[in-house]
Amino acid sequence: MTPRLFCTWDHPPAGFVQRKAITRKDVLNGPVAFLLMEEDDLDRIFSPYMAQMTGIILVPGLRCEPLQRGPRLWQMFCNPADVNQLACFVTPMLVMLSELLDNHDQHIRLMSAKGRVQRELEITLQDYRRVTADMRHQLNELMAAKERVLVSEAALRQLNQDLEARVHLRTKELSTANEELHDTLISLRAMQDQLVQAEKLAALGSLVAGVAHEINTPVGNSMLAASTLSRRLLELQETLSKGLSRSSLENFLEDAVGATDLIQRNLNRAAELVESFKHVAVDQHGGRRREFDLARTVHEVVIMIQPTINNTPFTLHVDVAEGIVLDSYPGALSQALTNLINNAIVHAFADRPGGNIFITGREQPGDSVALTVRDDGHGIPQSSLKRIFEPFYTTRLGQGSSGLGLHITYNAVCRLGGRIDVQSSPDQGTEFMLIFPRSAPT
Amino acid sequence: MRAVSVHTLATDPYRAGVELGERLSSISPEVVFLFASIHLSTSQDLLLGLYDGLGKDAVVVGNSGDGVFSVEGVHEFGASALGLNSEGKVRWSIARAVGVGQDPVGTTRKVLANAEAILGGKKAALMMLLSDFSADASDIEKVIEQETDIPVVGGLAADDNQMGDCTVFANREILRDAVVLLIAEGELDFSIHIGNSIMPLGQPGTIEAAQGRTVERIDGLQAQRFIELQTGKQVLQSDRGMTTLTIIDPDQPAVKRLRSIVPMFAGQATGLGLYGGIEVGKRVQVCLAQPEALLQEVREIAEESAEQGPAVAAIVISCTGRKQMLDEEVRQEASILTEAHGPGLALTGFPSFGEIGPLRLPDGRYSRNLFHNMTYVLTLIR
Repeated sequence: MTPRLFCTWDHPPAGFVQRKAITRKDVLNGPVAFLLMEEDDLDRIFSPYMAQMTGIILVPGLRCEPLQRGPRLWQMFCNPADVNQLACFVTPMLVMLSELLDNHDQHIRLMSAKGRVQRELEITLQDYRRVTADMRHQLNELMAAKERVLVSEAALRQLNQDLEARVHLRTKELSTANEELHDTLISLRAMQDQLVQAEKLAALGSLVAGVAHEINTPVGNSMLAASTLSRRLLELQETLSKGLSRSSLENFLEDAVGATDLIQRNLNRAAELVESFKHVAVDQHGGRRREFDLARTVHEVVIMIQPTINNTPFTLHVDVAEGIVLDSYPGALSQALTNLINNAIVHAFADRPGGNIFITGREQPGDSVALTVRDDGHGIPQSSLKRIFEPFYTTRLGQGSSGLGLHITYNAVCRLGGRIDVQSSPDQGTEFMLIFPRSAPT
Repeated sequence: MRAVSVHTLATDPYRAGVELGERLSSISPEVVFLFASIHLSTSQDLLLGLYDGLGKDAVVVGNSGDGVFSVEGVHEFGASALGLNSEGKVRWSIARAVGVGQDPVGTTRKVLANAEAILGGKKAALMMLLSDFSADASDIEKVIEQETDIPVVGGLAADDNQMGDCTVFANREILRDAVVLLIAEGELDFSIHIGNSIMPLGQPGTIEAAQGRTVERIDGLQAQRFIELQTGKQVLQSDRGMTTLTIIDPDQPAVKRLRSIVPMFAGQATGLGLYGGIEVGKRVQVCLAQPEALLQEVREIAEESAEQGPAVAAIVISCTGRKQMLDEEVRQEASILTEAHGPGLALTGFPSFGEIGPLRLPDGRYSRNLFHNMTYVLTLIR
């Protein structure tokens, strides 16, 4: 720093620069020493600046003590005789004041920086407190949540234990129920087998009744012819003792020939019926496998069932191709056919004044055979169609229907190694098509 | 154009003024841009000293800042000045109006009207607008955006981040609650560069309730809560000036404006203060600046501007939020420029509470004048 030493004297002492007019810049722009002419000039010139000035104002005088005129401004006296040494004396003081001012500047800057740091620290502290409070709040919430979780876990554990106990109990109950159900199922199956067997026997009984009725006619005719022949023989015997005429003998012989012919024909018919019945009964009951002719078997079934048909207003039409020989189970086939015909009579024509049942049999490609039983009765509703082969499914429950007929038919066809296709429309009738191989699977 | 910049750390306003004035007097400046920390800016002595130091009259414009920029960097305390002498090619003048706190729109209109009267029908090349920060600068923006097509740079005066006081300089006057406009008319070769490229994060939201410089609700949430959801962290006082909302203008995607937040924790306050209001209905998105990204955009500006030839003078008006975020590295906002333009670059400026300047559009023209936060506004004189 260049010391600024000004004086108002006409002849400035060494080191001082003369200032006729003192400017604000001279006064305020850093440490300065002014040498005045007289003490009165001090207040006149510097009173506006004393609070801001830094320096020394020298006035002539012999007093030694300095007077402080501002925070960094001192008034000092100088012996006019020594003014040429003043610069040497004042300059170090101004240097010191300059350093003081620099320190003062630095102090102010530091205080400013300190204030700023304190404010930022305060803001940081406030943020810290805010974050801490928020974290504490979150921690409390977490602790509360943890507590709730613990309570929930305990409740869950208890619930699990209860559930396990209940599951154990229910499992035991279920196991018992299952065993009971299993026993019941076994009983039901046994009962079902019994019922199926009973149904088969009932069908057989019906056949027997029909056959008995059918045999009754030729046997009755034979009996009538035999008794007529017997009576005519007695008459011939009486006539012979009185004298037998040629004409009487010829009449007797004519009657005898007629009677024996009648007896022979009727007994043949009865024998034929018995043979058919034997076939059907043995086949159905024994279930043996053998070679047989489809048309003949169908014919035998028709013969068996014809007496039943004869008591109804319904007509049976049979059209089975000749010469179809099967290696299969004729009993099962007869059973199926009998049931389908009975089913038509009972269900298809219920409450109807008449109806037709058509039985057709044809060879099919692939060495199989199709036997169709079709009626022109009520038809089967679509809702029932999927269930008709289920055991005990019937639409005539409590009206004498067991619900086993078609189930038995289904099983019989399965035994043949075949299948049943059903087509039915309301009031258009129903068609059962049995398709099975010529040779049943072993 | 001749330019000299100086700065001082003197704590006495008069001595500081004299020091600046004496050193600027070497080029007999026509205009002096003077910026000072708040400690020096409240005393008339600063201007007295400046003029005493200059030894002649000159147009003086400036204000208090949160410190000052000089070629040596940024100083928390002190004053910085830049003198220009265009050899009479540019005519400099000052317009001023008081009352900006209560009536920012009216006061800005008044100062523009004063400027027109001074220009007398001529058109200014550039204007610098400096204002007290008590004004809602988004209202000032409405006027300078819509009512003048002359590029306006500038900013809001600041203090040492206490938001307690500030002053604006207009020749020999120290003003408060005022808008001061420096008018440059003539052959002034200048360029304006804006650095506001900080990237948004999170989802945009729509301002649903706002009053003045306070936003109450965004996307159905309290504004503060919206910020917290987007940033994933609590809003803190230390976020003041640094966490920013960018205003999305679907009609002008190239026009980007930022608004820094001023968290309000006093009493039952639920809103979010801003350094400039945002209208209801505007879409905003939160931005969090990264220090390196802030410096990178300054580097890009410096390199791009230096390609147009070295400047003689630079005036930096940079958000105080950037200064807080960059901490000591904020000195690079000055040093990067002197490195790019050479050591002869005269430089002054101040960390501000809001920045003003048009954006450079893709077609090379300037946009309308805009008010920004968290932004670096550089005016280069050649």
